[in-house]
Amino acid sequence: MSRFIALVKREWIIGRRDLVIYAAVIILVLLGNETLQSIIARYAGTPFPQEVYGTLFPPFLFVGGIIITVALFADDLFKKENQHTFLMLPATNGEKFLSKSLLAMVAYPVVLTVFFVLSSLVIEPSLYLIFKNPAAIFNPFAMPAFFTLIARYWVINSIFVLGSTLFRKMALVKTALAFTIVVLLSVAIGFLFLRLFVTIRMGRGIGLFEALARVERERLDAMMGAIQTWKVAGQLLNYLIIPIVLQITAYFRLTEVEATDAV
Amino acid sequence: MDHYRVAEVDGLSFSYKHTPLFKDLSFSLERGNIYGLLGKNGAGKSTLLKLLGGQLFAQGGTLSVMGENPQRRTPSLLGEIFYLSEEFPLPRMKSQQYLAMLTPFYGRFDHERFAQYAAEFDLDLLQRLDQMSLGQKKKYLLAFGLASNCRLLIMDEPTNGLDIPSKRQFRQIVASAMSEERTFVISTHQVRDMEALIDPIIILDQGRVIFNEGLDTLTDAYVMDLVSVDPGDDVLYKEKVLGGWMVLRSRAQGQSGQSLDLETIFNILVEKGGRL
Repeated sequence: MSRFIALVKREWIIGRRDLVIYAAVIILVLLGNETLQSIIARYAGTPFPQEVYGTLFPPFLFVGGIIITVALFADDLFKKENQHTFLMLPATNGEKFLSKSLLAMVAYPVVLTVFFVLSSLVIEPSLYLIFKNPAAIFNPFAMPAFFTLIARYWVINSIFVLGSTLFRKMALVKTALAFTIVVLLSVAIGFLFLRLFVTIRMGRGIGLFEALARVERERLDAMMGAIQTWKVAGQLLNYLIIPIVLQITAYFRLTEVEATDAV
Repeated sequence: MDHYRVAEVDGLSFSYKHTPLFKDLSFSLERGNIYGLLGKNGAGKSTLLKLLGGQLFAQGGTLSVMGENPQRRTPSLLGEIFYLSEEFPLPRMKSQQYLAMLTPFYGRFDHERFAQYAAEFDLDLLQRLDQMSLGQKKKYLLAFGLASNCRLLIMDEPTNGLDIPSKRQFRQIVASAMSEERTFVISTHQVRDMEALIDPIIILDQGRVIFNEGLDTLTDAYVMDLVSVDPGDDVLYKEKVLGGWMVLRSRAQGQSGQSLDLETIFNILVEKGGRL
C-alpha cells in the first residue's frame, strides 16, 4: 500500500467515529427540517419550499469543513496523543501535509455533496409517501453559483489550514479572530488611503462620500470600467493565488513544527 | 560506512538554548547488540536517543544512522526505527484499529508475532488503548515495536511502570526478538532490571561517552571482594556496605571473587571518569 493511501486510511480510522456522528447530525437536521416544512405546507396550506437542501448545504460545507480541517491538522501537530506517532510516521512531510489538505479541501466537499444527494434520495420519497408533497431531490448543479461556493470554501478553508498549523490551542477561534482583525485592518487602511487620495485631489474639508458624489458620471464609469478589467485578476488572486500561498505557508509551518515543536 | 555499524556519531554537539549538553561526542553502535545507555539524571540519555531517532537535530558534528542522516527524516529510515518514548499517550481506539492505522507503514510487520508477544505480556487486545494502564500501554507498544521488525529499536526507560513479572517478561521477549540484523538501544536507570539483558553498555557523563564496551572486558579484568576492614587507598574502588567494605581489585590469574554487578560498574566508571 502506498504511503499516501496509508496516510489517508489513518485519517479515516482516527476520524471515523466523529464523522459517523457528524453524518447522523446532518441526516437528522435534513430530515427534521424537511418534515417540519412538509407538515407546515400540508396543514397550513402554504406552498412547499423546494430549496431546503440548497439552503442547508453552505452552512454544513463551511462550518463542518472548517471544524474538520482544524481537527485534522491541530490534533496531529499539537495534541499529545497523536504528536509523537505523527512525527515518527515513515512518510515525508509533503505526503503528511498533502493527505490532510486534500481530504479537507477536495474530499470533504465532494463527499458532503454526494451525501446530501443520497440523503435527499432517501428522505424525499419517504416524505412524499407520508405527506404527498413534491419531492425535491438535491441537485448541486441547479444551485446558483455552486462552483463559486466551492471556490469560496477553498479560500476560507485555506485560511483555517494555515491557522491550525500556527496556533497550538483553540486554533479555530484564534484563526477566526485573526482573520477578522486582518479584514478590519485592511478595510481601515483602504479607507485611510481613499481619504488621503480625496484630500490630495479635492482639498481639505470635503467628506469622503461628498467627494464620491462630486465625481463626474463619465469619470465614475471610466473608473468602474478599469475595475472590471482588473476583476479577472482579482478573482485569480482571490480564488487561486491566495489559497495556494496559504497552503504553501501551512506546509512550511508543518515542516517547522515537525522539526522543532513536536518533540 | 562499516556494514556492521548501525549508528556513527562523530564530534556531535547539542545544546538546549543556553545549556550545553554534548560537545564533541563520538561513538558508534554495531548491529546485533542490545545496548544499555546509562547515565545520571540530566546526562542527556533521552536527548541522545531523540537525536538518533531524528527527533532533535544536532548543532554540530555528524550523525548517521544506517548510513543516513536522521535529521532528514526520510521515510525509509523512519520505517527502520521504532522509538518507544518514556511518555506516550495512546489514542482512543482498540488494538485492531491501531494496527490497521499503523502497520501499512512498516512493511515487515509480523501480525502473528505481535499476537504472540501480546499473549506473552497478558494484554487484552479487546480493551481500548487509552484505558490501559501505563504498564499495559508500554507492553503494547513494545510488542508493536518488536513485531514491526524495525532494525533499530530505541527504548527510553522501558521498564518504568512495569510490575515485577512484567519486567521478567520484558527481558525474555526482548532477548527472544533479538537477531543479528537488529539493534536495540535501551536507556534506563533501573540497571538491575536490565543486568542480564544489556551488553555492551554506553555510559554518558557530563556530555561525554565515558564507556562504550562489553561488560566482559571489566568482569574478566576485575573482581569484587567483601573485606571487613577499611582497605585504605590500596584498591581501585571501595564502597562501605553492611558488614564491611566492598572493594574492586584487578583480577589475578585464577582469582575468584564476587562478579561485578552493573550498578557497581556504573558507579565506579562515573566516579573514575570512565577509566580504571
